[in-house]
Amino acid sequence: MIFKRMKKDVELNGEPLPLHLTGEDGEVWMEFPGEVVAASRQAINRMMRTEPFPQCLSTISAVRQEGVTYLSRAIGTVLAEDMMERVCVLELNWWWPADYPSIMVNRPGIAEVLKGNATLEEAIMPTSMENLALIPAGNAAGDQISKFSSSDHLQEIIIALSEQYDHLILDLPSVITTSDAIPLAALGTGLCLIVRQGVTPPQRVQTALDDLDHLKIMGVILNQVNISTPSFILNYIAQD
Amino acid sequence: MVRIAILRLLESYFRHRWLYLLPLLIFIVAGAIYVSTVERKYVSGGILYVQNDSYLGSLTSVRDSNFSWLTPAQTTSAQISDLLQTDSFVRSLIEDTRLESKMSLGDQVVFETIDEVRNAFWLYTIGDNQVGIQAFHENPQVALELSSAAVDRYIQWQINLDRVQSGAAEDFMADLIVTYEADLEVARSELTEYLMAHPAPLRGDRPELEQLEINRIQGKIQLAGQRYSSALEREESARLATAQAEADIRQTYFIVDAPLLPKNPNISLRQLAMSGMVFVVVGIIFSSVGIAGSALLDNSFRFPVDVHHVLDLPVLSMVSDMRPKTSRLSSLRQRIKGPAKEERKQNITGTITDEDVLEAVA
Repeated sequence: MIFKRMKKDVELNGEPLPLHLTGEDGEVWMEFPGEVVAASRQAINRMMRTEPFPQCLSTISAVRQEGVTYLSRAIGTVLAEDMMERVCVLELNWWWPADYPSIMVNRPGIAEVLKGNATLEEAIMPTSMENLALIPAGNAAGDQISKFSSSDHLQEIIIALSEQYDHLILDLPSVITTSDAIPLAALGTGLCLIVRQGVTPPQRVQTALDDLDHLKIMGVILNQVNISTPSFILNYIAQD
Repeated sequence: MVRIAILRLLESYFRHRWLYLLPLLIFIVAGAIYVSTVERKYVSGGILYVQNDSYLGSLTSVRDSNFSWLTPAQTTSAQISDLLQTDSFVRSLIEDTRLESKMSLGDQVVFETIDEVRNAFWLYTIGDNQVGIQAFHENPQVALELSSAAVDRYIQWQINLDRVQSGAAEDFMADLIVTYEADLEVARSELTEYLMAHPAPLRGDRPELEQLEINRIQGKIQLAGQRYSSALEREESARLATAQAEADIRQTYFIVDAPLLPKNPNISLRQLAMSGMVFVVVGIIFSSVGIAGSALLDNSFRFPVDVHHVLDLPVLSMVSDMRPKTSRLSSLRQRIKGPAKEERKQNITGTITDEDVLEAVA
């Protein structure tokens, strides 16, 4: 009985704590369970094995709904929490922008900055963490997106943000479904590909990688992993 | 590659394990039902030895011994099989068994009984001269009666076949004997009448003319007598052949192993276990095909080794799926159909709507 309780205590202590992405007012925008925090931490550490973490990391996927926005925010939050460095998550997915609380509907995004309707400072959304900020994509029309994607102004904004923050996490649209993802991905100094486990066809991912082969690809994050094989069996088979 | 295949097969199985176990379970249930309901039939069999040609047959030459490519055992087996196709032979078998009581229960029962008996036999040959006759039935007594009846009735059929040949000869000779006997009597009467009409003289010899006539009539009697005697002899030979027929057949076909009353049903526990195992093996094959098919059709990344093998990139981490199952299903559905139009409009930071596209084109 004593042994059981001790073992349970150890397990609880070893479990990573969840993190919350909250606004300045304390409203929870997003919750990251302990497993997601641990996986994000692992991804960050693996990227930092041989070299420093990229100053501007592009997170991208081959197709839509792979969880790029979620993981880019998770990586940004964990990075800000663990390394105590200034981190900004910049959303450049004008095709399928992320959801925000209704109170921020009229808040300007990077699109408005590019249009000249708002300043960069106005677009930055501070969070409850002092060293973490978010910049939403904003509202861009179809003909504006291509211009924005390859504009010098956007590059200037990136440079400006790079000076202001230690790390930028770019939330990019999918490569296959949008034509402007490739120039956007080139804005980053490193690229991380998000692939949904058990869903995304390898051919699609390979096609996307062919388009991104000129960039520095840090690796792949398998998202929404659901392995049914019992771990005691998997322990006998190497999976790397 | 082998590692990937093993991992994918395992994942394919554990993802829908109950689905893949279903064929196995179905076949196990079917096997259990089969084993529990299989008819336990008793088998009674005898072995009949068929001689190429009997000794008596060769002496009397009543039986034909034409050359044939078929062995005597094959010929006999074919004959019995042919006879079993006739209702008369099958009915004669039923007469010798307790199934006879069913023959008065209406046409349908009679038809079923005849069909049952017809299909209750298994014939096989052992070498050139031995024929095995086996009868199957739920009742061991009936199995014994059927196999015994089959052997006896076949031999009797052969005897009857030979009797028909020798009986025809006997009848023919019997008809001739009557004719020859009548001819002999006529000749004898003629001699008596002539002698009465021409008595012998008191002195001396008969006239030469009378003596010649008496000699002629006596010759006629002698000839009729000889024909009559010959016919009698042939009739006796025919009778002898008839009598020999049964002995001849009994010598040609004799029972090596008489049918015995079976003590145990034909299906043993081992056979039942083997039958059950066949069901299990078929179930395993179906389940395996399902698992392998699912693994082959799974066109996605499942394990880090897949990513490394296909993309040659490291896997930075694996983020567990924290969503509830219903959310996963709706996400999958949405992924297949695409996002709803309303959902696009509801994005608070703005997005490209159909109106935007039209405006841009304009």
